[in-house]
Amino acid sequence: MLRFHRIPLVASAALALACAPRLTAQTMADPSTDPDAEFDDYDDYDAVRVHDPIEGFNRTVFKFNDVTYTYVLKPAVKGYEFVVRPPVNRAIGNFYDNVRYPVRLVNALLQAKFSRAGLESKKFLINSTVGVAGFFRPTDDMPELAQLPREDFGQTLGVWGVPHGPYLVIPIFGGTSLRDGTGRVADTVVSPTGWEYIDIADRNWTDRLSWQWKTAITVTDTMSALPPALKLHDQMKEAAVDPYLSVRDATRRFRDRETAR
Amino acid sequence: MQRIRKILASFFLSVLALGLSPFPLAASPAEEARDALRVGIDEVSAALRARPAQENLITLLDTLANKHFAFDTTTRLAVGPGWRDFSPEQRSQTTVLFSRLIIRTYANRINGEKPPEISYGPPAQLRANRVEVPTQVNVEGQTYAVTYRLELNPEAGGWRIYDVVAEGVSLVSNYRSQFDPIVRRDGARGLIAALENQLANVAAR
Repeated sequence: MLRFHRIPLVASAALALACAPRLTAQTMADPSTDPDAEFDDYDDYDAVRVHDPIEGFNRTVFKFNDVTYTYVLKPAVKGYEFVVRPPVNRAIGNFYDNVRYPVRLVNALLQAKFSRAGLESKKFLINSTVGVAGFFRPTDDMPELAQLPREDFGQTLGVWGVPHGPYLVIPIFGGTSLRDGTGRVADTVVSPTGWEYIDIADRNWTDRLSWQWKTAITVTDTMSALPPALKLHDQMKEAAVDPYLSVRDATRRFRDRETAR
Repeated sequence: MQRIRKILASFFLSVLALGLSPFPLAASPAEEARDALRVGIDEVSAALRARPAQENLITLLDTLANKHFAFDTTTRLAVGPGWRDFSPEQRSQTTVLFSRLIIRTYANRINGEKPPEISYGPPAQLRANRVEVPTQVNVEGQTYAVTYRLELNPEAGGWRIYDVVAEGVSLVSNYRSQFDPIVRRDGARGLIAALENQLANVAAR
């Protein structure tokens, strides 16, 4: 949820056009005498224009999510972490992150990032063994592996040149784009934590697991991912004048940076 | 043999002397900015280690922040070209309110956490008198890429931070995306009212 997600670079041109007369006026003025000359640095910041045709609807879902986070999920996490203490919960988060290695591997390969695929495999092997089935992350102390950018199918589509499409706020999950949201769904096919939802050749891979196990997997996975996401949401909400726009901008920029890496 | 030893000894001594010299050899503006950033962050970290009460923390951060942050530049860039239509009073009012909001939310954020570990990357020149310094910040086992942008203003006492880019998200850009519609719709007054409103929200929490 609230996972950050990318850009149509198109509309910055419109802004450039709108500012053009002023800019030319400035460039021609003598910078040492013209008091306006200091302003020509506005262009250092490109305006990210997020295509958001259903903004009204998105804002409603954003509000719904905000209320759900505050009054349902936050208390739920608090209760859960009373039993499963935060360090243990983080270790569980590490475990699921490690288990989702196929997602990162497959997408690194789809983007022809072969050395990254190799590093991901190395990371997976080390954390699965030395890190006791991935509950610990010894690779955090290995500079080469600690900062390895995570690949997913949304990024793969971006690398392939697919634009974001409209910005979407999904109930509970938060802000994304049509492209990145599609990517998330596609990634569940390769993610072991998503296999329980998928039937291949009329057989579910996790048929042998009881429903209790399946529920436990979903709950522990979600609960380990929630604390940092809820904290980030709260921080952004507090600092923002318009939380919806703040989250939308941050989501898009974060995803674009991830895709470019 | 004796001679080689002597040469080696003098070599090591000179290396040592250079390393200890209070005047860094030919520091570029970018390196100067990085040193200033380090001093600023160390000062804030040291102040936080004393674990002041929340209200004192805000006063303390206020003093430190005004020394190390160029809030005037941050505010002007966050508002964008619409800043031209702000009167001098509106400009200073916006700057004060905006810096207060940033300091307040930052103070609430770091409360109760131990100071993060920071490693500094190679600084890069952005334009004349502007430098950006990439850092890796480690908080609670998670590492984040945080880039600081600094500008040189000799009148204000040297290099000061005017933007912070966390994981690709620039503080200035993020606020520009929020301020822009407000300024377009309601002008400087609308923005000042919105800032006052959010400050009241934050203070009430």
